[in-house]
Amino acid sequence: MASTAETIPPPAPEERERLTRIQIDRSCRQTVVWYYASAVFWLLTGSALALIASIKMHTPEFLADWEWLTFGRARPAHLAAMIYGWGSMAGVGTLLWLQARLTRTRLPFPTLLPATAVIWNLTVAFGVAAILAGYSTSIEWIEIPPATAVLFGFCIAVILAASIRMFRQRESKHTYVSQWYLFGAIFWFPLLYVSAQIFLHTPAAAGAVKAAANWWFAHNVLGLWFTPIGLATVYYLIPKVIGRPVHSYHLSLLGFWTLAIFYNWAGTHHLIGGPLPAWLITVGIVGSVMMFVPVVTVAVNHHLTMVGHFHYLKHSPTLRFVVYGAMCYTAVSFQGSLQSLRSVNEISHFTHYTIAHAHLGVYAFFTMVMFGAIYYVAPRLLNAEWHSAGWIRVHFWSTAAGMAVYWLGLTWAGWEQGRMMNDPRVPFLDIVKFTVPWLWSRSAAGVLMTIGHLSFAWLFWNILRQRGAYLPGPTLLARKGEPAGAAAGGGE
Amino acid sequence: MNHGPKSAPRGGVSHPGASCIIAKGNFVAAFYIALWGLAALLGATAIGALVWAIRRGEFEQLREASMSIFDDEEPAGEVTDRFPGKRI
Repeated sequence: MASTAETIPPPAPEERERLTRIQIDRSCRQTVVWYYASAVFWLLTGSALALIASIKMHTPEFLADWEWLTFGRARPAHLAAMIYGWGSMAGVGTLLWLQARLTRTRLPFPTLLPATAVIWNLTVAFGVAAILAGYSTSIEWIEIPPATAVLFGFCIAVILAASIRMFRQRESKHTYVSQWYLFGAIFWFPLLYVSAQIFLHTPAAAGAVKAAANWWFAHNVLGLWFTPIGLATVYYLIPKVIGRPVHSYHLSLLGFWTLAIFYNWAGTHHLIGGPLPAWLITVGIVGSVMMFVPVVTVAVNHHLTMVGHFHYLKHSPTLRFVVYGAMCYTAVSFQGSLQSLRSVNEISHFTHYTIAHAHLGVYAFFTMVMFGAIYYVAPRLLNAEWHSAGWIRVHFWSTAAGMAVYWLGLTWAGWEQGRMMNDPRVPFLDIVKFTVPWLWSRSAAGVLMTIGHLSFAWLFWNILRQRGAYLPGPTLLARKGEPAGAAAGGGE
Repeated sequence: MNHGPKSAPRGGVSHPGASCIIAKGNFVAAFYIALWGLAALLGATAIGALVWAIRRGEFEQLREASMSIFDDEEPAGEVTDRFPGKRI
């Protein structure tokens, strides 16, 4: 019995939990929605640039009168739009929401964090424009001007400060594995980006050493920025969606720490056969092969978590994208470890094989996982449901099929191209002509993928517009057995 | 133009503006110190993080840690995502 002095009983533990979840998600709304919306914009921009670059490869007279779209500019602009625009912004949005959820605290800096989204957008726009205007630095994966380091550095500093603040205020005794990956990403990326810009644009790394710095950077953007964010997302979303904890938490920790040890050495596998000391390249190959350990660990763990629950793929958009992505992570990593062996690299290097591999990583793994994350997070931030299951299916099947066509076509073309290039009897022009039909298949794949992206943008636009007043009650979708919208309205 | 060994920049590195860097050898040395220092710092923080985790018992309560993403609102055993308008 409450004493007469207490007039209002404290909320029951369940209610307190639910309120907190609403408050957590609500605190993320401004920032994360800004980042996601920007990411979708850059996805479309990057897709357009991708199609232009792809078509120009087999049909060079396409848009040839517009010098600012020449292949040498369109392709790096595509890279910049996708890496720093789509990938990084979808990644940051997901990173911030995941950390808010994992630490069960509000997202801090409600003015400064959304401002970083604006600054980030302007920086990417500046970078893409600079490339199209002819100011590309010609250093792969980092063609944008070095001045961007200051702007990105500032944004990341704010995001890192937010991450640290949330972590220090965390409620849970346990630091879930995703939190480890996310801290890795947010801590490593600024060091990586800033030091790479310094190495590459000062006398620090000149001549052949510049190439080593270039690929140390580029590979670590994959390994220490995108991969940890992607894996953190998979480790959180698969268990969350199917309602079952990770099969072996021990394995998940092993996977994280071995990734942290091995991944960053792998960069010089991009320079096999190049004018660098053999030991430097061998170090890269060893690091790449050692990656089998974390990759197999993660694959086994995710598979055993999903076993018996694969039927949920029929029901959950998030799960479809995330599981597709997780499987492709395993595939691309296996391929990458093999590709780093000198005997394989002898054939695959400097061919379309490498491009197929790159897209298997950044697209089939990272991008698909990000799609899954956005499908999960956006309704919870916007208190609205995705407006059409049909368009979600279009999105999934076009991108999944498009990626398959892309990879199969260019892998075959690249391997044959490599074999023929190693054969001095084959004239070079014959090899070029051989690749042309496969480049057409890549453009076709690109069209399919772009159709998927347009569907996704349409879906995102619609869920943005359904934003209404703050709604009390659970931010969840309807419970099992209830139609959508039943739980969202009417406050509880 | 004479590009013989005596006139090449010290250290054999050629970069626009290199000629205006006085005492270039010091710069290179400083760079290596900074580079190895950064690498050592990164490695040390990683090891520090690992030690911190072990001492906090993160590697002992694995079951609880794996369950930490569930709560009363979204308990283990409940599916939390589906296509819009559909039931599970």
